[in-house]
Amino acid sequence: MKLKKIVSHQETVVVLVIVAIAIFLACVRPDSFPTTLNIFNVFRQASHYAVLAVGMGFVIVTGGVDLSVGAVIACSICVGAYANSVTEGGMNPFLVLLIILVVGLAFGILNGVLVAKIGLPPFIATMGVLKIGNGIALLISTGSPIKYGESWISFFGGSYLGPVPVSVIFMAVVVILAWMFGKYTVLGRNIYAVGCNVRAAKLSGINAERVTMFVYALSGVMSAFVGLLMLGQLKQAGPSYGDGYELDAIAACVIGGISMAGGEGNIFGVVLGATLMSLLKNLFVQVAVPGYWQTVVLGIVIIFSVAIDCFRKKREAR
Amino acid sequence: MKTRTKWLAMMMVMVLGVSTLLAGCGGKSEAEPAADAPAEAPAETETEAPEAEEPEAEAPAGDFVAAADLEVPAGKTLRTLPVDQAADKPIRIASICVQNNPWGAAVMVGQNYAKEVLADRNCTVDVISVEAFEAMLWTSTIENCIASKYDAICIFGVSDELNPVVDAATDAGILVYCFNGDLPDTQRTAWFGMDDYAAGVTAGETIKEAVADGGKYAIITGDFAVTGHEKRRTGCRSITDEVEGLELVGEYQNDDDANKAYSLTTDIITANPDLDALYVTAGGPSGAAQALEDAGKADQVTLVCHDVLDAVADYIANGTIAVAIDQDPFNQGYEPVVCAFNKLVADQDCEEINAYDAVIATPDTVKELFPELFE
Repeated sequence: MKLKKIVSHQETVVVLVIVAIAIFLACVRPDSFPTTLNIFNVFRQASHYAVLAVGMGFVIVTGGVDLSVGAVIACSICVGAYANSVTEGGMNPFLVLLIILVVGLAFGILNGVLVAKIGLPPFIATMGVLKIGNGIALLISTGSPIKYGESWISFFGGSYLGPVPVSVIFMAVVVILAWMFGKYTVLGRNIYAVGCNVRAAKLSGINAERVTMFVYALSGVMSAFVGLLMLGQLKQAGPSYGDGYELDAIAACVIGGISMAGGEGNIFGVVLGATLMSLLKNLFVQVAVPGYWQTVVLGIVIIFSVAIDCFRKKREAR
Repeated sequence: MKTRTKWLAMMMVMVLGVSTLLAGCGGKSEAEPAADAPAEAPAETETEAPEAEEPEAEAPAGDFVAAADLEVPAGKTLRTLPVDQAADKPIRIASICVQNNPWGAAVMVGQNYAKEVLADRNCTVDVISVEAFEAMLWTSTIENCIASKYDAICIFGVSDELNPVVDAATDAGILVYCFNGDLPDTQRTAWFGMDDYAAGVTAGETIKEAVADGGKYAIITGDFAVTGHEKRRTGCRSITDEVEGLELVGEYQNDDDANKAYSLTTDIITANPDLDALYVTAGGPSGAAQALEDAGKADQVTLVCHDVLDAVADYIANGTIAVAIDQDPFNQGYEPVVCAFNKLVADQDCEEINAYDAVIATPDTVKELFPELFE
């Protein structure tokens, strides 16, 4: 009975899967897996997915989806790095940071307008914006990475505080703030209300359009933050950065317990989903999983994680 | 609801308006010649001189920059020069590549240079981009080019899956030139590029030399489904598999992405702190190099990669990348287009196989071989 209660939350199942993989790896690779360096590598890689998935998570909670996040990553940092490169003597890093965030916000607002104001289906609207973002990134960069070098904004993506990568601390702060926002603020609770039943939410006086606009704008800003982490890490901004990250972010959300139907899910879950994704990628290297099998394994784990939740819900419904 | 409908209607009107404007601007220069350019142009262009009276044939013979006077971009060498002759009828050549990575961008420089060079020879070169190295995307793009009745198409021979569409193009009288990857089982006219398998062998030999007493190495490949990447990977392994005591710790796919290369390299050196060598077969070596530098392993791990581009030039110069094998992307973009033009205008044949010598850049030679990257 107790076990049943424990596994009744998807987050708990994901934690158990993570623990099982970690124990397995610690047994198989005792010399290299359970080291501080490797554990923080896993979290550093998870930080990109997690920050992205925080924005994506709120969008999915409203019943939408944001396919443009990868393109927004590339476009925002390409614009920032380009502005820096064409400014004689380089641009003030604060302005570069501001440009990156403003570009992310602009794309987010564009998504919000298309979905909330015009009423386009989120899948179509954000796919269109994905193409626009990719195109602008290519136009600006002409296909090659733009060198940025180092400045204090590289601190977010490329620095460590002791053994802890700053991007991991950044992830922790973002996730805690997002969780508090979702749980303790009116707007945060309205997001869940809109996702549960948009009509009921409107009837109870919630401005659903504004809520929808807000979540897409937030997702754009989160994408820009991930771009910032990549810029700090690689010291360059390329048009292909973020390619395919939208699917990884969606996977992290779904694995973490956010329902694709909307209205349900804990933002803390996305960290678990992101951690599981990066732990699997770490596992591929640690135990040298043959290349062709790696994506198969990822697919199986995603299906398995979500299937457990589906079975649980079906049983509850009965 | 009404407001939403108004918004939607306004948007649609705007989109249609912009589309009409764009179509209006682009239509004259591209669509009209297309209708007049016969698919069988190659053999007939020279014998159809009387048709030069048509309004489209606006470039008179002799009104162009002679090949000998061409301004060549810094650090580049032209492997083939265009014939000093303008086409009697407008010629259209499509040159197709993936442009969203540094290598593709370097190819595009060559394509655009060919476009510039041939513009006053009455030849329009359309540089077309495909999103990814995915055979179906390429097939669709080539089908569109066939429908547009180009006189010649230059393509990256992504994989044998393109054979049917390439044969469909040649059946329609369109000349097809391949670069980088070859499609030898088709009726394509010629191929230009480096032998990927041989380049992989060169990488394998570099690793063999660097880890002469045995050790560990890993491979990060762009895509297991891209023929060129696979040739490099298997070429490398044809050498390294034979070396006693040399252990392959894993092969991973990074989708040509520097960020994924960074993460993979970090994981590989964490799992194998005694790693001796790393081979990046395709895009994203800058990520691998940055990861080695961040982990303080740049001196320990011999990093071998392909293409000497702006993104990796500094890493080669400072020794983080031990060897980079360059395949002259500029000429891969430029030469097929010019050879197609020469064939169409002057019936001048080029060699069927145009194998480029690999240029090996090391920390000692990179500044001398590629000075333009350090200006």
